[in-house]
Amino acid sequence: MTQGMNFTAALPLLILTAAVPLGMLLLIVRRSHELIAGFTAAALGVSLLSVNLALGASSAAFSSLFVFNAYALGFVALILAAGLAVVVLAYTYFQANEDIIREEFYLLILTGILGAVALAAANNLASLFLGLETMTLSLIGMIAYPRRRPESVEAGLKYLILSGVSSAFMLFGMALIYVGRGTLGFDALLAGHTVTLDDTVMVISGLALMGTASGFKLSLVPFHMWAPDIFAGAPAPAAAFLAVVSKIAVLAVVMRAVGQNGAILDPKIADIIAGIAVASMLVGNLLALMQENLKRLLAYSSIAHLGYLLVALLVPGALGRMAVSFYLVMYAISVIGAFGVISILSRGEAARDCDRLDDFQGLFWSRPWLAAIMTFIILSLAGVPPAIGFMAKIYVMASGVSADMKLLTGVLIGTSIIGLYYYLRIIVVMARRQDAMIALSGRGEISWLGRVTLVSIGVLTVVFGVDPQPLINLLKALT
Amino acid sequence: MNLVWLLLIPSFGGCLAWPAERLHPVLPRWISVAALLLDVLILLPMLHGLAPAGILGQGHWLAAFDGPWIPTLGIDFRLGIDGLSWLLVALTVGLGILAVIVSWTEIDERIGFFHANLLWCLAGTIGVFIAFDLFLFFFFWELMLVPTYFIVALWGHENRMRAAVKFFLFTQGSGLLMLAGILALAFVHLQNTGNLTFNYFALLNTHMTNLTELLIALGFFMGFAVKLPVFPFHTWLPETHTEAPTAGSVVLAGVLLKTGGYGLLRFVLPLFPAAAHEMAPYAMWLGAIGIFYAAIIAFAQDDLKRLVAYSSISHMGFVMIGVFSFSALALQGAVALMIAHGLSTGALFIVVGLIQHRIHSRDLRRMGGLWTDLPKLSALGTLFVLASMGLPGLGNFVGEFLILLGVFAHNPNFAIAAAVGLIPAAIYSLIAIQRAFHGQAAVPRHGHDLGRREIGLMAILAAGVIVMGVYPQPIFELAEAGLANMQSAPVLAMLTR
Repeated sequence: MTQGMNFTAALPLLILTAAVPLGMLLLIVRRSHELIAGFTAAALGVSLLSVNLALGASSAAFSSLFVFNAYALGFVALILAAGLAVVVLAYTYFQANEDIIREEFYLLILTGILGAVALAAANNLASLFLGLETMTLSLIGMIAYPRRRPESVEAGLKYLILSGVSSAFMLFGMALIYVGRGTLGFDALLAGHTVTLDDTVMVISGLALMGTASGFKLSLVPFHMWAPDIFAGAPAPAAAFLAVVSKIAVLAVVMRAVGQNGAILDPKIADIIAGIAVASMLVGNLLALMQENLKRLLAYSSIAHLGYLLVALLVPGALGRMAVSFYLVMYAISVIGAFGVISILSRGEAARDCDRLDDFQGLFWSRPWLAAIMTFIILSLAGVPPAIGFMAKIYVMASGVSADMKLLTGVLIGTSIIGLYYYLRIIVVMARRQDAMIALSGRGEISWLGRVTLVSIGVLTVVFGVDPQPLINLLKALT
Repeated sequence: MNLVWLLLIPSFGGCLAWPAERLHPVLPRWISVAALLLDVLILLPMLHGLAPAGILGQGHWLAAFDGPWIPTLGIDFRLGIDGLSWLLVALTVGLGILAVIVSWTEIDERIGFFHANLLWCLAGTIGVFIAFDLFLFFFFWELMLVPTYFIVALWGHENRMRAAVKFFLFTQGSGLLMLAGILALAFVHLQNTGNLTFNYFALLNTHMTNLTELLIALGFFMGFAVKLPVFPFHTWLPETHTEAPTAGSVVLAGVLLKTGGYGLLRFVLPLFPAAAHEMAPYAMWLGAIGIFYAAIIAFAQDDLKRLVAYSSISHMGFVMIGVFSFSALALQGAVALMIAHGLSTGALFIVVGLIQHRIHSRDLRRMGGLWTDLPKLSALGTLFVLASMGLPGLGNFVGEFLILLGVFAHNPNFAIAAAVGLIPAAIYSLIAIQRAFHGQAAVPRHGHDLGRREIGLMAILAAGVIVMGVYPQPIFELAEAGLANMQSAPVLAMLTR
């Protein structure tokens, strides 16, 4: 298969690829936290700007391995923006922390984003695996980065083993599909039809294995067990990366497999996905009720959100696609914001992150603005106006109602009500008056950079919640 | 454009009031009063310019606004105000001003944030009353919840957290059912016409099967029934009212409950005439049970605030019966009762707040003999209890009487049942007066009677209740114009049936 090599279209990927060795060289020349953080942010920023150029490229293909069409570029832009936010969060997180080595964290972010971008643009099973592994390996390093925290090292090790197993599933699934179909290219694999069950045993087993691996990466029930432990153990910026960037990238591939071509999904597969969605919504929301640790709570909430997303994913046509994209943007903004608040209150050198619910007690009285931003983010996750989460949930519900999916919509409503309870608890805790001075891990001064990031996230949640039309127009142009 | 300002002024007032506390602690209070007075200035001239018919569709509209919001989904920023909406918005703004005044001494921490929440809550409520796009309506419907939640959770009494969470779960949960109904209605309309819209007027007369109509109508009904509240969905109300600060109770009882009644009138009846007809007996039963049940529970209360809260549920049972009787008279009565109840119950909550401020208790067992120590407060308190009881010559009587009259013509059984329900109301009201104001003082105390600000506050409410009782005609005229607007052909046909 010989396809064109359009370098303009692939600019975001190429810039990142060049930035990784440059970053390493930079560290050899001069080891400076500010410098490498600035360099990483600049690389991501330039890559993000180049998305605009790439959109105007004459052809989307970059060899047979990657395709940078508007659809993929939308995901790439979202990944890059989320990556930028993670860099800022990591900078404030490690800022005061001069006695440990912190510069390599940014290299890991860069390689992780590189992997995610490759994954989102993959047009071939080989490049899919390449992107997935690049991203996962970087993530392991990021999760276990604070070496003096046993929880982080434990989480890193867990992720290493579990994601290793899931990668093996993925690889074996690909091999079986190759045996069945004799090709690795998406175009040939998805030609004319999407995934279906009327196929040879080889292909079906391959599909099942690949589905399992994707379910693991997206932490969907029943492949979700790892998420809470690893979210809780990972340093807050790494957890944000894990919750947002890695899931968006994997979802980009999954979405392409199940109906991006406008084809209708095999009903049996749709049933399986629906079952996973129901289980994820129920389990995620129910288990989140009992959490005392905010990161664990967000892990379960993220499981539930992916369940909501699957509902929209099952809806064919433009409405379903828009619902998924809108929900993804909402998810990215809100979850980055939630982890952002945690990481801005935490410090890398502390024994643990500021992630227990008790740590947030009285935030409304001690840091009213931060608490207000957190409130909007939580409202957004809960789907309450005027936050963007409200519009996103409406979109998903509307797509569910339009496709007449009564059970899924019903479960969505029911579990959203359950979800309100634990989201409200966070706000209640923040509003509770502080009885005694609680020694917080990092109640120090918040840097202006962190402030700017969080305020803009807070503003975004409200602005898009009140006036979603510009965002809808943007997404429409991309999907 | 006037209508947009009606929403924007309190919203921005809230944004201003929050940081204004840093300059001076009184500033947020004045900003709130100013914002609400500006709203009054917008509202009053509307009455003179009874606009020509047919701005929005049909009927008498005082003002209207139409702008794009999310065109992709067929959602417009469509506002309109007719007589009914005007009455309820005026009630909202008026009680809002009183709520600010009553919290002048009660709220002494986080003053800025309190007034911001109060103003946002009022803005959301105003939006509910004037939105004529179903999605916009739902947006406002949800928007008023969060500030109310904060008012209860941050400034409430002992068990405020539990109460606030319960309030939020009940109303938000039922709201989501309504949302499902709204979406289903829009998509049924989309299937019929190929046109996705949430426009209220376009969705009127949407053709659907009986079952679909009933299911969608039930979704709407749940949302409004919880808010009203109707037995058995009332359990959030006593707790929330008891724990809320006085201003919160005033806004909750005076205004927020009315959104439920308004929703039934404006949405359930005109959008789903057949389903409403089918649901009517059950809804009226719920209303009748609620009248009795809440009255009996109110009788057993020792907490004066809880007693008032249960009496609210009892009164809302009348509204429910009135709405679902489909009688023009009873509909008028329901509107009048909503307004009168807003005034009298708002006033009662203020009275309880004032008593609590003086004797640091709401417990009837610790009251008794208040009349000797606080004659003015007790006299006014008695007036409002009597008004709430339905004494002729005061506002509530007009509403209840009309409802009974209207229902009797259509369905005498319910009218008799509801009329009997007035007896327990008299019992718990009179007993409450006796226990609180007369007899021997249970505990020694020294309070000071009402100050000038408080007298003024109560005088306004007392005047409102008396005027409504003696000369309710203007309210009927305004409401009639509004009710005529909603009674699109199918409902009218039903009324004359």
